[in-house]
Amino acid sequence: MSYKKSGFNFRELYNIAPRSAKAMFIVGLTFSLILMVFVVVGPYITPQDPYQFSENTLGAPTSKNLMGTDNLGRDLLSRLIYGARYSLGISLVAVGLSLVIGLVLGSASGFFGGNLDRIMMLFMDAMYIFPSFIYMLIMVVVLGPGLWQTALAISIGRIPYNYRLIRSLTISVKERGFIEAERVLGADNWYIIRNHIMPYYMSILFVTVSLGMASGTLAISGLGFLGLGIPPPTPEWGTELAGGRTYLLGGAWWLVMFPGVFVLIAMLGFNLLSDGLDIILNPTVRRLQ
Amino acid sequence: MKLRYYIAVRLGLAIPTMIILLTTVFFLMHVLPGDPVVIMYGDRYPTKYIDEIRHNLGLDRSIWEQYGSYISDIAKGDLGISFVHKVPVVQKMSNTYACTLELAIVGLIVSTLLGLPLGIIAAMRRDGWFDHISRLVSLYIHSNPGFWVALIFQIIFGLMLGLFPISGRSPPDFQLTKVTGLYILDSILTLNFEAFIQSIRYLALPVLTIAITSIPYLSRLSRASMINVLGEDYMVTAKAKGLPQWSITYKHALRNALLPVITSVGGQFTALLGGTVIIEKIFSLPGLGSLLMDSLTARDFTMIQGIVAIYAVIVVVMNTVIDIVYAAADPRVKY
Amino acid sequence: MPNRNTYILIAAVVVVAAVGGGYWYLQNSQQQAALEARKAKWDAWAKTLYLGTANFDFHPGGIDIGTSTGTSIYRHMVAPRMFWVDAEKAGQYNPLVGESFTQKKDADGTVYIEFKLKSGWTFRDGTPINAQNMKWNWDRALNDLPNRKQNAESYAVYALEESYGTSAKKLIVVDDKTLLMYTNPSWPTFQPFWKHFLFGLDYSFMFSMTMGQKYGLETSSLEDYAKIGKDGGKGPFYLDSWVEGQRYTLKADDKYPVNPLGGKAGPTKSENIKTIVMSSYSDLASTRIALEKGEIDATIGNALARADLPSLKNNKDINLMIIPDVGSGNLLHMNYDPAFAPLNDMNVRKAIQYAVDPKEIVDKLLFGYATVSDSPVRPYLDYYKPVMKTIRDLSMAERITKAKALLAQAGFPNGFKTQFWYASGVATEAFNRDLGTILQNQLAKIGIELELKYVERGVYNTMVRAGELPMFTRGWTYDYPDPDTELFYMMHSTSPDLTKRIKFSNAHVDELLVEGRNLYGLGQDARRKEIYTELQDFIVSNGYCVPLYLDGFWDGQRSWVTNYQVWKVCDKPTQGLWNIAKTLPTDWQTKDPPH
Repeated sequence: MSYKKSGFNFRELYNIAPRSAKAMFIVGLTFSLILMVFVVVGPYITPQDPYQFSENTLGAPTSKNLMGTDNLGRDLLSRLIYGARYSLGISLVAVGLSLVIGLVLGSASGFFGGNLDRIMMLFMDAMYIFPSFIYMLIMVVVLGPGLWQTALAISIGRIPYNYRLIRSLTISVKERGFIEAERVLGADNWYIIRNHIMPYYMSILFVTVSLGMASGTLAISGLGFLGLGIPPPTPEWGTELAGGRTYLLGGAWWLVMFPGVFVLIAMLGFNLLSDGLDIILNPTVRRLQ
Repeated sequence: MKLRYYIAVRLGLAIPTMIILLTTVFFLMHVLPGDPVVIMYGDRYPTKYIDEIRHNLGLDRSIWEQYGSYISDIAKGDLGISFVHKVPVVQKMSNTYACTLELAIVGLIVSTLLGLPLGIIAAMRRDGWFDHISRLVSLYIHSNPGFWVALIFQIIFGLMLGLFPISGRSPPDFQLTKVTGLYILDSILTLNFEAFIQSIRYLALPVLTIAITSIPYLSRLSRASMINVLGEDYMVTAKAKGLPQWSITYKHALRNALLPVITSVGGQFTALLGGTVIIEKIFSLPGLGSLLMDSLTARDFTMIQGIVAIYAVIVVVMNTVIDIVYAAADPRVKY
Repeated sequence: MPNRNTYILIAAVVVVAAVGGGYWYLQNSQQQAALEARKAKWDAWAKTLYLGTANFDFHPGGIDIGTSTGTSIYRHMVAPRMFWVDAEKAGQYNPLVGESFTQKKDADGTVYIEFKLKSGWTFRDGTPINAQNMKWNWDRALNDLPNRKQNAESYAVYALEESYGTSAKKLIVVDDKTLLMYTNPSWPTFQPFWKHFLFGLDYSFMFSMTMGQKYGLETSSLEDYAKIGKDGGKGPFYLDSWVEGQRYTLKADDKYPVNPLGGKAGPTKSENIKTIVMSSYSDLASTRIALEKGEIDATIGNALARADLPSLKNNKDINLMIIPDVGSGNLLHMNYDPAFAPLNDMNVRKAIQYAVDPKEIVDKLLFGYATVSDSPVRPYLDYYKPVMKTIRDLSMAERITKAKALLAQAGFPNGFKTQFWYASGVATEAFNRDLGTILQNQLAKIGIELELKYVERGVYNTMVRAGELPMFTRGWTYDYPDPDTELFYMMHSTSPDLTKRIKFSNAHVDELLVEGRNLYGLGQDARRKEIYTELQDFIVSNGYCVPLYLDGFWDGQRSWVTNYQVWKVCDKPTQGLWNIAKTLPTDWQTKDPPH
């Protein structure tokens, strides 16, 4: 009963990938890893205490405060490093959550088909075509401020996309007919889904996660910029950016510049990573590269 | 399935889709904490008036009653009265929708006009220096968060160079007779040169921001589509037939390449609509996005539901039309 | 004999001289004309006042009690009032179209006020300004408001009801010039109070009854309201045009009389400014930029971001008009409810008074543009006593020691945990969050762990009104020039505002407050001074609250604006546009005016 699972051999794929894809992958991975390091050990590696006031309010960047200080004299660089765990960490949770839900719903929909599928498709389609930022916005206001609430709101925005993806992947695998054999042998449905369908598209999920991180981080910063989502006084990047606007005309450009730079690096990292991965993991796609 | 049947099905789907969206938002609203009446009338208001107002607004009925009357009102086209502004929702929105619409449409047009050619040229010079550079630049631009780009533009073009105003939709001494509410269109229709110039000046930075966020995606899309088409068999046939290059490119390749892109342009439009909330806040534009934000804070249920209804209508109509057009135009699409 | 060539030479010289001279003369007179044309432009500019405000919902509101600055200015300039507060003497109301007001008692002992109007005043549409008109305006403002869909000002209802709404007799017209107002029986005969509510707030402006009945309906359009402003008012200016959301123009009424008491006693004919253009900008940043460019001559209604003030101060072309101590006064309150122990322990509260340093808040969050307050009462009111000074004059180290000692005395030598609450989803959220952060920092020094909590505004209002919050800040704007204005509302047990929120009730304090009111105007200064001194001392002896700071108002003007008389009355520091004059900048000859 054992046949070779069609997993993928990353090493192999990587070696035959074109140079540009390798470059994107490496750079993207580096940025993403650095930021993940911030998420995990951020509080321990900040140059100064992100919550420490000082008399040097609205100070320009100096060697002591590489990115300047905010209106309460706190070091901006420390705050932004510390903020990574919010902007990115919440995104990670949201991506994971939406992926799991998308997997369950999409697999069920694609595998079982029928009326269940039709109803879910209708519902998900309706959600899919609607601008996701708007109902993330509404959800965030409804759920109120909070880490879990924000993660939930962001994940809801992503679910329709994941659902559609998983569903179409499931259907395409199902149509290839391996499944009938397992069925005949009496395997339970979810076992089939887990062990015989998912492995076929596992590689695509890496790309999905990476893309999800990019859009999740963007959404969280966007919400933070509007003053919603992550509860203050946590130094989430978008919130810091919005706060910095007040002091812009008075000359404190660093408060607006640097939080944006952090978001940019995060986005670059994840986008490069997902583009590179996409090309590496899908050699057939290279035709369109 | 014949086209007519497909159209009927798509149209038929449109209504349930809208109802799903509206219902979801309605129930979300009523789960919101915070009593809108207390929010509106605030601190020193005598309590006895609060109860009276709550009754007048119908907020003391059961949620099912409220839902029922909500749906039946919508069917009649009545979106209710805004709690905060005390005027019918439709009236308030009629003053604001034009701003968002103009922003989204002009933004989309500019992005499309700039993005599609970029992608197509890159596809035609595939793997050349133009292609590589534009892809890298594209990715870089795409990674910039829109709200940050908007602020940077405000700083550079607005404050430092003084080329464009940093916020608002029009200067205080703006004179324009309202025809559609879209300033650029109206100024052309009424031959008002001054207003035309001013509208463009004020719309410049917001549209630039939107373009920055959309162009990378659109150029990538058109590039992929073009490459796809260029690799098709009929391209070789055309060349073998001895057709001139321009004819091959423009008449055959382009038309086929653009078709799939059109459906995505529709998707871009809805993404733009979502993005207008932040853009309107940054540039202080009096559009639906700003209105939505304010209404959310103020718990103005009817207004929120009204705005969501409008977005739902726009989005559903747009998607339905695009799907039908695409299905009619491309014989390969199975429906 | 000079030969022919000489003649030709002479002729040539003459011609050249003539042409040159003519040219030079033309140039000069053209320059002269250009200069004169330029001067004319500048003169026209000097007669027009360009104001800017940042106001999103710029709607006239008409005869309803609207709230936006734009319409407030419009009503001040366009609508007549019976009395007008004096610019310099707080609490003094000068006659305008009213002549006098006297408080009287009738046979049953009910208190009423007798208003007498001047004769000869008419609205711009010709209808006379008389008692019937005033009654109509006041009646409409009160009776229609709660049911009127366009009402936005809740305080108006509360205020008017408190003033006369529930008395059976209400308003009685005796004749054209005499109107009697029966006050609410529970309303004190405390003059500053009712003067404020009747004249001080925006509720006593008049519009012509004929126009109001014709146009002031719920179905009225923008044009209708504009018409009421134009023809139904009577002020130094009248409404010329209105574009909703953008700007309106007022023109001076040359037939408006000169005020015999002068321009500081109330509206008077505007001699210098003949047109006012009020523009609405989309946000405070744009207002600032417009001011810097000279597009507007002045901002109005606090239309400059506080964070911009330090950088604007350095701009020599701009005068920042900063009026301290007339804005909102912020205080930190602690709940007396035993559920929030140990905050109900007097020593704990006093310890907090020692530990909190408002100066840091003023320096860091307010850029120094507020004053630390040493008493809930404002410094310029009678009987003011800076009771917190005894605490704040000590060094910070001493204060911390003292605070810790007090905590130990209360049984909490190692501090305790409590919470500071504020409202989210409001414009002040970021500020309150930062304020809470500073408090957190300061209280941590004496071992108190302060958790910052926030809920969205509606829930916050409900919770704070029900007295469910342990610590919160509350702003207060003073209503009338007497210490009663803060203290009564803060400390009397029937006060709906504060005492319920902090579950405070003290019979002796109640007695003092009522006595203070009853003794007003009876020449009992010595006793009143005793009362209010004792009440202020109570703040410290009982640890009642922590007075933080007093805010001010500010606006910016270009240096060419002169004589901008400021009324130091809370909420209205920017009246008096009729007094303004503009001077031409010194380099006017070299450039054109901004408009």
